Amino acid sequence: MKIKHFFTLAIIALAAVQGMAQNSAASAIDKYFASYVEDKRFSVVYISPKLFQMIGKIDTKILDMENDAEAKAVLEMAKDLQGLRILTTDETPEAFYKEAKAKINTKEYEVLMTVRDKDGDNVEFLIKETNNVISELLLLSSGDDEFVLLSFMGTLDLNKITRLAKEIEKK
Amino acid sequence: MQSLLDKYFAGESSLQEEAQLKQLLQDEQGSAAQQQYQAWFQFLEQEADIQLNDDFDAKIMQKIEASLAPAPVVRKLQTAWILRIAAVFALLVAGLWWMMRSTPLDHPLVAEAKVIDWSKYEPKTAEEAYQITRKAFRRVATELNEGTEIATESVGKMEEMGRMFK
Repeated sequence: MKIKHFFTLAIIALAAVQGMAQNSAASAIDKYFASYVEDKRFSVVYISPKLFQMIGKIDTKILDMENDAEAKAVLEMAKDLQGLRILTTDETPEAFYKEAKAKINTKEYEVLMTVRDKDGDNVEFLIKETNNVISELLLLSSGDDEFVLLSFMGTLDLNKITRLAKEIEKK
Repeated sequence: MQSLLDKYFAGESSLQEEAQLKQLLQDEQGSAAQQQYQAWFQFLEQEADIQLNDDFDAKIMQKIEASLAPAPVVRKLQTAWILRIAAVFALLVAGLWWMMRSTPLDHPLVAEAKVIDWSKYEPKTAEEAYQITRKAFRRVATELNEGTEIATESVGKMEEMGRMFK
């Protein structure tokens, strides 16, 4: 009986420590790539949730989006986003790609897709998923001329992304 | 006499020699050797006279059971307890170590993360933000397309190969 209690306590303690160790709110870039953000070799863009709200309010006529399925899909997806962070550099893309891959905690991020084409370009899609809901999509990509880190935060629907992908493919 | 004694205590005397020794000791009443060793042989004789009672076996078994049987059970329980507690601690320590190892950069980087002022990197207008978002999605979408394309290509190739091997 007492032993059972002991085990329960131990499990609770472990869970608590695990919970503290993982700061679920922070994006992968905050966690692993903070140094890149300050790095002068990188260009950084951040779109805040507030900006996403504003995007939603843009007059679609002004941007001539009415007949643009892609624009619609983008707007649709922007609604769900909590933040978009982009880091790019044109210096030693290959090295940065390797470093980035090593930095990411694979316990937290799941590889969705890895692409390596003939030209030696590398792309990796990583997702952070909790209870079947994707809370972050991370894109690492390196080619001859640049290394790109993209982090979408927010509840993401992969189906919507695929729909958008199809939309773009049509063009 | 002395040589008999020496032999006796060295355990090398024969039965006859032993009997001879006893006899000698009894004969030499009052001698130093007699006083010294008589008690020993008397004790041996007394001990030899002791007879076991009929219930000796039962009694001794009872005693053995009383003294031995419960003891190992108690000891086993205690060791089991200690082992279990030790196992839990070992698991805890191992678990902690594993987590520390798997997220070694977490704490400093999370602390660092608070320092990042993301607002510096925000575009000024919603239109600009839209264009960037669109570009980002386009990138994701094209990469996804490329990935699936390569995947379907490879699947196709594999199917071809499968057909070849049939």
